[in-house]
Amino acid sequence: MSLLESLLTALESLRASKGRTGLTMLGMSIGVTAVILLVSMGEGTKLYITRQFTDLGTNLIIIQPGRTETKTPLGPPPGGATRKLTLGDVRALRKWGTLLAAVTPITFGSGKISRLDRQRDVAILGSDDMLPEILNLGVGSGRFLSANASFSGRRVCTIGETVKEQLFGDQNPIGQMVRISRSAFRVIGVMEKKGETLGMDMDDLVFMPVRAYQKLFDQSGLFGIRAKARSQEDLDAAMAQCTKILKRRHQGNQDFTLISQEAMMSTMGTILDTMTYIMAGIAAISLVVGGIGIMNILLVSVAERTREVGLRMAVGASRWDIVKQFLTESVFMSLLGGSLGVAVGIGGAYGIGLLSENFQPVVTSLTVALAFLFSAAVGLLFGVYPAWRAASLDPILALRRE
Amino acid sequence: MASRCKSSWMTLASTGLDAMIELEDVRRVYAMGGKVGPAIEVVALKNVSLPLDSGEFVAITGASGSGKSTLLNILGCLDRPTSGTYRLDGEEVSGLSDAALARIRNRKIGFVFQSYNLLPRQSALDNVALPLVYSGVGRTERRRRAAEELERVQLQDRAHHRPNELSGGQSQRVAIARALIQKPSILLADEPTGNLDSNTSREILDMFHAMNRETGVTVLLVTHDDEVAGAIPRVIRLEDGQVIEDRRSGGGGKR
Repeated sequence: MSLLESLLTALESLRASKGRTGLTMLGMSIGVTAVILLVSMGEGTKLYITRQFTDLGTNLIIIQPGRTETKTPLGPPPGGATRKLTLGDVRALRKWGTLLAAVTPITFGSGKISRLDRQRDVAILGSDDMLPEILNLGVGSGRFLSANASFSGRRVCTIGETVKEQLFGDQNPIGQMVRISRSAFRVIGVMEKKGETLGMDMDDLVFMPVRAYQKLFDQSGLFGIRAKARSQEDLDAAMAQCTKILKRRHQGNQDFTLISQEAMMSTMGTILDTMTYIMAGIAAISLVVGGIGIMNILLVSVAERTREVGLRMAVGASRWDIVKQFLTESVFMSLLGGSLGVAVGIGGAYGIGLLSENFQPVVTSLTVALAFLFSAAVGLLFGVYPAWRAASLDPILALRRE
Repeated sequence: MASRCKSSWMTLASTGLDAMIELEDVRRVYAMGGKVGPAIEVVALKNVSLPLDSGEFVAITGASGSGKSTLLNILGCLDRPTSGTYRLDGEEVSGLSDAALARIRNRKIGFVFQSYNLLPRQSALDNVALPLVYSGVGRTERRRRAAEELERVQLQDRAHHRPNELSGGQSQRVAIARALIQKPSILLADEPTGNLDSNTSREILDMFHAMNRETGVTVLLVTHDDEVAGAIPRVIRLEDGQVIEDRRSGGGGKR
């Protein structure tokens, strides 16, 4: 019996019980849809987060005070540092760091900003003129902090778009005075709208010169230093250079930690991949359940068609022919259900993509191929037992069955 | 057995001196039970030896439980003898594999059942063509040959009807066409008229006689109806798994 012949026979008997064939296939479809949707959302999340990291600037080197003995790409817990990084460190890196394109100090805290009767709690970032280049920020109107202002500690600030809207509404804020933690600051610029990056609203920030920040909050150290390597290829060498320069300044102690953005990204990537696999695994359970549905229906079908099996054997079907007949039915059902699931899954992923502008599920051809193959495998696997049951019927008894 | 009389055309049709079917000392024992208490052996056939010539028309009669069905199953290669030999067309078949037996059923044996056993979802034509599916004949060729076979049983105008649209007699004619499509050596009929009224029964029996006469196929027909058996040239009567009578009427294959 040829494969085409088996297929036609299978089609015919599936058509004879459309309702239950359809329902059984539906089980398979739901499983495949779930796999494709979950995996594509996992992939989409990964892409989204990668983009967020890249938005923070490329070739970024993050230097944080404190040292974790065990290697961790996410850096030491903040706040527990023994020795702070200082503006001196920044100057040294600028002077000796030949492989660095830019270095900027970061101080970070929160405070109240107010103007007339309006007041708002904001995150405050003390830095200098290099920050926009390193973090890929753009100035919307006015200007950013100048190099001079940063180290002299003049009380000027550049505010985010949200802060501007909340405090000034439609008015032009440039040149206006605001109060930040009870000190008067002049607004010199408004940042370009950027949106949220890694859960932080970049538009709800106030930027001020690092010295001004230190004076305002009476701090001597820095939250950290951000540097940018000249190129992707120089990244490792640049990090080694930073380490060397800072160690010399810190009497040979490596009491700071360098993290490259790439390392953070790959860590996140690993975490997200694991999550995607877990979700795909959970979805795959539903495929297995679908397979059991197929097996159940086929067992019923074998019982109903006992006489047919007996007759086919009497007119010359070998046991292998009978196995083929039922296996074909099973694989056909699971593949058809799987195809439907692929279609619904892709459609669903597309639909989710329409709902959000930032987040796009990613359907890869590999995902589709795997879901498809898996459903075929499930059909084959769960078809084996019913097919074997049918093939091991005794034709004499099968023919006598009423 | 030398005094056996044959009609002349049978001799011409036979392949040689050997009998076409030869059962020698065939025994079939079933083990019953065994789960509760000791297993009981049921002897269904006791040392049956039976030569059959090509082109013969034989009735097998006997009470139920006499071993008729067992004999038919062994002859039809659906069952194997516990001991003894079964030669079909000179080939020893009792020791063949399942797959080889399936092939023999496909090529050399045609079955006709009391309850027709047609596939309910397929047309008369496709039912007739079914054995060809298992010998790798293409769809067009299958249909062509099935149509020919249907014409032989005068059902060409019912080719596209399904079994539930056919009368009992028509269904049995479809089954006969199916049994003959591979031009088998033997046609095995198990109470083929058991579900039919007497008029239709006569029609079907006439058809068996005609097929036997026209194609030279050996026909073995199991029946418990003495009237049916009476019209058949050779009658083998079984009792308790043994042949107790092997009678030939003088008329040979002709009626």
